[in-house]
Amino acid sequence: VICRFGALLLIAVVADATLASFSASALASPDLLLLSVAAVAAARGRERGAAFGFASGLAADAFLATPAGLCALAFTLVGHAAGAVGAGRRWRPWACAVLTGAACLAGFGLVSVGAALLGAAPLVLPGAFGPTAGGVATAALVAPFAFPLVARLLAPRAAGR
Amino acid sequence: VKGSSPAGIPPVLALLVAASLTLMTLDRLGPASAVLTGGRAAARQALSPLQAAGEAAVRPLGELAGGLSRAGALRRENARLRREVTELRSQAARAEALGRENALLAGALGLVPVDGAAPPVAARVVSLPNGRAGSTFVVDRGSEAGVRPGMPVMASGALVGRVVRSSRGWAAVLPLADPTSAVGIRLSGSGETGLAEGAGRSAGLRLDLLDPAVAVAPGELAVTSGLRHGRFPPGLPVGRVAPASQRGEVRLRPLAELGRLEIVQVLRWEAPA
Repeated sequence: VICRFGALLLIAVVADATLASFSASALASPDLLLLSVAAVAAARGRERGAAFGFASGLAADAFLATPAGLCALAFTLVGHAAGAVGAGRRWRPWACAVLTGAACLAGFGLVSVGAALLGAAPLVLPGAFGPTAGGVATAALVAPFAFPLVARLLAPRAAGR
Repeated sequence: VKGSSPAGIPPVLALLVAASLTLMTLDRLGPASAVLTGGRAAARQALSPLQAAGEAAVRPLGELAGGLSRAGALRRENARLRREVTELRSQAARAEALGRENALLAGALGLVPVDGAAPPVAARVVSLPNGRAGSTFVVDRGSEAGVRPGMPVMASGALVGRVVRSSRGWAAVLPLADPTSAVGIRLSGSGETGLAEGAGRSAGLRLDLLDPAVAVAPGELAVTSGLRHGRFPPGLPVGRVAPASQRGEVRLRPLAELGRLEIVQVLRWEAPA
């Protein structure tokens, strides 16, 4: 199980960095890390959502100028909250998009507020809103396709097989 | 409640929140912060081959799409660049002659170099930013070479960002084009001052002049004004004014291309307290 979570995290980190590098102003690049946190939480519940959020937050921390641990904290809370909303439900496409949009907004908001409180480089400059809004919107559009894939990847295997 | 702490918080959540808060606390302490910065840089270096492989896989598709849509514009840009090369060669020759004259005059007047700053530190870029707002690139020189947060970073003779973290052997640099970055500039021709804000890796810098009514000539060079909270020394080349968009928005095209950075120079200049 840990290998599958690890593989998913690695794919999300590399794909996120690759897509963001190629998109103009990162406007069209989905925030794949928070999308995967929401998808994991929806598939496997709040505890695994929080754990996956913590791991992906650490990965995000490695790339950002924010204090170490800030994204880990924000993504942990997002993963837990997303899992609490309704793990194990059968998610309709629009619900996947709404949950992902809310998770991305919450993650960005928590990191921005945390960075401002800690006196770090603020992510709330006007120029950051466009790329962030683009990342949230495209992540929500991708979510209906990503949720079933993540759920299948992380589905518990039947005993005895 | 079963599986919850006395305060009603699930133990796993409490543990992860505590781990995050511990990391944030350690990050604010001097020695531990250096270890964490080194760890972050090492993690990014470990991921950079995968990131490079991903970019190599996607690049042909992106270039094909971009090439098809911009073939005509590329031909015009090529012709313009040829003219610019000729002009710049002539300017470079004039600048060299002026530099020699300036050194002679400065020596005659007994002037010391600007700010008496220490010689710059050359560093190799080991990891590029991932394109997200606030993401940094990493260079392989750090506190052992005198690199400290706040120092300007140059490439190809132009400003590319500033150091935001440093530890032994590593430093993280926030690119100028990042949406969370801003620099005070002065246009070298008209002398107008303003603020250049990052608009993303491929979109350059958005220019807000103090006097929005002033006409700006495309191609005009922008240098640091030294006014924006004193974050950068004055006179560092930042970029050239790009043709205005249909919405009238003026942008600066950075002189140094972020995606092709290999070697940079860290200016050991620190903002006045």
